[in-house]
Amino acid sequence: MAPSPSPSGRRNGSGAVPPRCEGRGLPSHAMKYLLRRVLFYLVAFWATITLNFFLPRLMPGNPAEALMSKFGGRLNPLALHAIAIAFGLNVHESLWTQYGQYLVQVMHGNLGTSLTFYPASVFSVIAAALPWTLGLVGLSTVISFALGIGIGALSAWRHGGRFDTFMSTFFTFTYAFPYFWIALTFLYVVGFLWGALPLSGAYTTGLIPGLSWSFVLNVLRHGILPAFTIVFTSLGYWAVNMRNTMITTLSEDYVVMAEAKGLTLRQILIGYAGRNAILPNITGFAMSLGFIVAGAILTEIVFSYPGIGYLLFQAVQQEDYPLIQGILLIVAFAVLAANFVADLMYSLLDPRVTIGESQ
Amino acid sequence: MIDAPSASVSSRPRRVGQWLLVVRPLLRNAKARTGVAIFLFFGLVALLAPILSPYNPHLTIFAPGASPSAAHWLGTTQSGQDILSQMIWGTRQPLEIALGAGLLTTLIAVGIGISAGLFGGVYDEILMLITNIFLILPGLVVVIVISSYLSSANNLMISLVITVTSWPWGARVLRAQTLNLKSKDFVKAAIVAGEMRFRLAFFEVLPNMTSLVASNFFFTCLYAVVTAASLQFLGLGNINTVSWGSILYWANNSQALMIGAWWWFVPPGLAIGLLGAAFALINFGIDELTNPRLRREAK
Amino acid sequence: MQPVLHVEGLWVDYFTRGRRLRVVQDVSFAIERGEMLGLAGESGSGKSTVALAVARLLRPENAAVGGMVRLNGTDFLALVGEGLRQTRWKSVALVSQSAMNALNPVINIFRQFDDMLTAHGYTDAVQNRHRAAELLDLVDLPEQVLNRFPHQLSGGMKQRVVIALALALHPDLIIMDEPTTALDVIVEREILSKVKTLQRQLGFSVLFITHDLDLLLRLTDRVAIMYAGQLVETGPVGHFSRSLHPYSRALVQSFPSLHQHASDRRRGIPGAPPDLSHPPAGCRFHPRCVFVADVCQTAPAWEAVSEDPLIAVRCSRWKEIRDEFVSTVD
Repeated sequence: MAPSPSPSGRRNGSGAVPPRCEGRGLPSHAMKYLLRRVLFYLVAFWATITLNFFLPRLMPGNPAEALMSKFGGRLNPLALHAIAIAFGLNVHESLWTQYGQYLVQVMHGNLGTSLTFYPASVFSVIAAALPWTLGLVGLSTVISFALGIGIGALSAWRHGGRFDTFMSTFFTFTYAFPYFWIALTFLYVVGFLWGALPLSGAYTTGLIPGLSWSFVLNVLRHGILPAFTIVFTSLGYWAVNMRNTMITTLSEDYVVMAEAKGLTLRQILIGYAGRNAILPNITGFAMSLGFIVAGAILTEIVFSYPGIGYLLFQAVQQEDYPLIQGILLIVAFAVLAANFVADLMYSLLDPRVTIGESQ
Repeated sequence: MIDAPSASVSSRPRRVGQWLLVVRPLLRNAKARTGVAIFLFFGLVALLAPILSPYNPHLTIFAPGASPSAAHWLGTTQSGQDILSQMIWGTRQPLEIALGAGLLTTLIAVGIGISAGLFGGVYDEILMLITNIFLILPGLVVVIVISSYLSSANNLMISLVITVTSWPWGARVLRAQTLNLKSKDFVKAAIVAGEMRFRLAFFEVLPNMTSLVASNFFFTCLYAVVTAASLQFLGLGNINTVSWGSILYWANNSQALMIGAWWWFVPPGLAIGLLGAAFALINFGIDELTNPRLRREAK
Repeated sequence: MQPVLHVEGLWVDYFTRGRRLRVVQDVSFAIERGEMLGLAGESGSGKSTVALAVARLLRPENAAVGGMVRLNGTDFLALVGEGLRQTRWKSVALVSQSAMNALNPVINIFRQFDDMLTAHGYTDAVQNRHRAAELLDLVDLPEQVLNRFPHQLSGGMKQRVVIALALALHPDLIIMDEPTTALDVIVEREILSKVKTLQRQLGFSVLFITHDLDLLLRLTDRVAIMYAGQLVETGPVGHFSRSLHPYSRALVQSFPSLHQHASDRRRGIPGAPPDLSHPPAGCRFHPRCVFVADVCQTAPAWEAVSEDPLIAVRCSRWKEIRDEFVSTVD
């Protein structure tokens, strides 16, 4: 899926040495590349805001009208106004005026008022849930990526061996099973039948959050099962991708050459094959963040983990449209930011990055 | 040079008639064969649902919450429905959505990918910008947001919603392949000969990316099965239709886990996973066919 | 004095799609100190496999290797694990088929010298840099190249870097497998004359593999010709103007020469090389041979025509061919 940058065109002759990039840190062409990426992310974010604005207006029968009749009496005028702008209920203003107002509103971080958690603002509700998601999803994704890359590299090295065959078959299935069902099964077996770990939440209800050992341990105990679910279900993706790129890389001339040079197995596997095979996976990492987010949302819902995913579930059940919109914006923003981090890593690992060759 | 004038098979363009030739080698691949077998099994179950199903899946006349027995192989729900009958009838929706979304997505991806690659220029740049934006947006969140605006959705609408987030992958890959083919002699020749763009796309370019198109189709099917099930699990789409996803929704809603009713949520999950795995296996088979390095053999 | 490389009865089997396929059969040759042996053959004749087998670069799960390969008298095929690793590059270095991909694209040139030197126990980075700069100087590249990444170098420069790498541990033997195929003619000529100069200067031996017989006849001391996984003829370069095997003769004739008329050029060899899973019975070349006779139904032996200089041929009718040669040429 991910294109790897191809080396620049063949130039023959032993003429002058091409200009080199001096100094430490990122060379200038990498800076240009990153700048272009940032520009793209800005456009993508603007597109998300626009999508958010037009979606409810495109739907058959404006969904917000039902909403207003349901909640209308309970809301203060300011909240009503924000909802009117977001969902286009003020028919006397033109679409473009409404769009302009919406953009300004979002730029000021005003995502409206949550109906479920009235009178809390959407922003504050999301801000309370975000750390839980970042902690759970961030940590388990890093573990899953590292583990998957390792397993994939090993499978490729012993390509066709017993380990490889077992892993490939195993991952074909974990890859295809729905996250939430695997979460349910773990919950049932470990939480319900075995009773080893708590069934839901991020910490025992009634416990006062604080920096005490007992609280931290409690949080960790609650986090194990959801984190394990995320690692278990996403591991296959990284392992299979890494295995395939690694197999291709292992037959490259420079790897054969590395072996002929008498390098140690460690040097060959990590410095030559692994280092090159991981590059498409970093691009892939960025591209598959959508999947990671999807898995995390469902896992949170199954475990009633108080993060963004569970919040989205509550918002959907309560038809809390301002909150739904706000979550889409925040998640999109997080995904774009994570993509930028991946770009940064890519430009550090691959000296060939040139403008327009990646993504 | 000594090299014998060997026929350059790889550069010979593939003609439309050869589409079918992809199927035979695919069936020789063990992974693909397993995938096709599972898929055909579910297809048959869906078709023969009226014959196979022991009861009407909507009937709520049986003892509620019964564990599997001779009368109810997979037990009953809390409201007294036969789960086996629900499972059998529930095969139809995931299949319809998978194939529907697969078809829609492939059509859009082929249209955008090939035209962007062939026309190039500003047209290409704009299309690719849109593609990349849709690619980067978190798919499931977008699907959930759109579905939450729809009060209820039929299978076609769910397929459409899924398509909104699944077309960009194919479009990108197919565009890259079009650019690649554009540099091949037989396409260059066709361009010089003044062949119509439309003819060029359908007779020179498309037949030469059969495996990519097929791979995109099956990948989308996998994505659609899992996404549709996720939506229904969240209570979106239409939970009153009988499908694997809605069985899971009601199971979860009725605390099936907490009363130990494993027969209620294990079968639908397994079925979804198995159908998804079938699509994944077919896809792996295609991958191995197109990338011979993934097969285990010497150079 | 013993030869630097002595190969005797070498065979290689590939495992492919559950079958075992013999791709190299009964190959024997030797290379003396400071000598350059050219190995020629069509693509698929097994010449690159010979190189990979001699350099111990075939993976055991993909291929089986048998026979004898001695480097400076020690049995190279018997080495395993750490012993093999430490011997690599010191005894035999490789300049592989395409210099374009022989360098790791994500690390700079110095690190490609440094990691190899480190792996062989030279851990002083400052000294390694001096050493790498000296080596680059040998192939006429400036020291600054050390800080470049492969994609910043031209094809010819990359090939020079690879040659400099090959020289680093003073190997007795350098295997060059089609080292210049990706380069244009002028760069090719520059690099080959550089290799010749270095060889005279440093005294290493070379196994030079190519499908370009014309090049070998100009460059090397001795030539061996492969057909369908077997050696069919070997001898000093001069011998090939009167070569004894019908295949080698056809090869020599299929080359354009400036002295020939256009009509004489590129006669080519009718037919195609055999499928190695079903090689022809008897002599493997007989279906395409113009000298074919009943005797060719039995496999010909690898037979020495003269000991010094060594000339050997795999043809049952080589005596008749020699006599015919004498009668037509004289």
